[in-house]
Amino acid sequence: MTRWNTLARKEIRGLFNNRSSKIGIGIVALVFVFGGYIAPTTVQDPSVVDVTIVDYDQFLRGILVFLVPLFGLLLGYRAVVGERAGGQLTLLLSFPHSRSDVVLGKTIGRGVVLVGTIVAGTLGAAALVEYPFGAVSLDRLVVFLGATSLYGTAFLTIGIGLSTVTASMRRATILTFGVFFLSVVAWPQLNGYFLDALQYVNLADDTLPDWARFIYGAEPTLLYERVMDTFIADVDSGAYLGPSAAWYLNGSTAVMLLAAWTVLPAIGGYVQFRRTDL
Amino acid sequence: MNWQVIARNDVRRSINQRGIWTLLAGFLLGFCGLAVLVLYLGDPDFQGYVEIIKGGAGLLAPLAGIILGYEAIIGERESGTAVLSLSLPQSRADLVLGKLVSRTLLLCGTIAAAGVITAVVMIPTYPSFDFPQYVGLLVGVAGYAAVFLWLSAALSMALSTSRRVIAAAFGTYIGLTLFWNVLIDVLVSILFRFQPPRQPETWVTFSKFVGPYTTYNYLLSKLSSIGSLPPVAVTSTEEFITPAVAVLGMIGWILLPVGLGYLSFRRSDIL
Repeated sequence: MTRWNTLARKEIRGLFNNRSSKIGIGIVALVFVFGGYIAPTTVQDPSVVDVTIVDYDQFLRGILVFLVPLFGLLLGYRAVVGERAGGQLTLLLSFPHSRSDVVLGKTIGRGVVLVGTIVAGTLGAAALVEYPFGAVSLDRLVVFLGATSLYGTAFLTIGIGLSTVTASMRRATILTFGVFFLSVVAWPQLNGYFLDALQYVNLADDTLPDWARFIYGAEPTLLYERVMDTFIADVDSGAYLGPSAAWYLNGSTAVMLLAAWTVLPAIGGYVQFRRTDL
Repeated sequence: MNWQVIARNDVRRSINQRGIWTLLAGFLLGFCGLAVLVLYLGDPDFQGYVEIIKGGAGLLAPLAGIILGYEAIIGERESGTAVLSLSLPQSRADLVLGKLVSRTLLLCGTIAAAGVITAVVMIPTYPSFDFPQYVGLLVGVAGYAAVFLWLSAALSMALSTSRRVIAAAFGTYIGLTLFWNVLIDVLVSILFRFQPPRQPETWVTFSKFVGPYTTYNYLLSKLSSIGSLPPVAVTSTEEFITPAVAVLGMIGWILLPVGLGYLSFRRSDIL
């Protein structure tokens, strides 16, 4: 219990003592706050219509789906492999820390930093949205914070998972950017190809069947968009959220899946890491 | 009770130095010199005299406070005396309190001395000399200068080199006397996305009102009827525009920065 605690605390201190990571954290928080500053100016007549978190989400989401995954991955991808390549990891493990302590401590320490940055930035932004023009309702703010934190944590654990399965920094870097490109840039565009492939093997007609939608939509960025659409933007149309969609395509399921993404990659990485020879 | 030793020592040492006498000469030149000048130009008008002093002191008295305050702690720290005096049974709180008391006494003493000498010159020559108004002016100037003395002493505790203390104290002086209202207006403009409201918000009026330069002008004008009221007190009808709030604001400017400065000084490594 106390053993991963020490490692997590060391991790947080390390991130805040390092100049470049401090700057990175500051920039991410600033983007959130700055979004809160700009959001009211995107509304037609802010002195008549109350500006809310919905407008903030609408304005910032396009940026967040790039920024948050990048932030999570960059926080995570060097966590274990950096120390492994540098040789500190064997030293660390010669202390009474187990390998699970290392992975858990690093995940929690970096997760605290990630969630703390998102929370701080969003609270600052919420204050700027609330005053002087708007009205921020607490429940939507909590939903926004929760969903965005889950989204960031999912990519953090993916990064840590990659970091535990690779042995060299270079491979970890390449894999990380591969994941970033695939999930953030490419995946949302692959809808059509996916349909073509299924039609080719005679599994789909004109549109994707529900089970294929479920699989296609189980990617973190699409899940995050669906959660935000359901609980913040109140969207109730489209293939996933429309009235005729299957129950397992709705927002609540998306929350569950997103939560699963925050745990499974690190566990998967750890299972591999436990058995490797350092 | 060790702070009294430090205060007494500091007063004694300052009196033997040139600085405090220069300061006295400066105040004397301002108060007495102006009185003689007005007299020399003919028509000894007391009301005109106090208004000029009020305006001049509004910009110059803070400098006297800063000169007395900025070295309070950092001087001891840089010369190494702080380490020596803290090795005696004196706490850091004693050091800070003793320094602040002695510097404040020196400031008030200098202003009082200059005031008394000037009064001796003025009583026989100015037919309209008004004693309560004169005392009010001196108290106002002393309190206003004390605000800047304590502010710069707070910076002297919080920062680690005297160059930084001087720069910060001078910045504070410029910001609080000349640009306070402008800074608030800029902040409002940014916060309201460059569409500032016509009717100023309550917090805007309040923070403009408690700026030291405004409270100083307001108090002297309201209580001693010297000069005109500052604009924020004229245009606004808020209920908090009273002398009591103005005095509380000044006390806040005196105590809060010193409290924060002490908190940072208490934890810092002074070697």
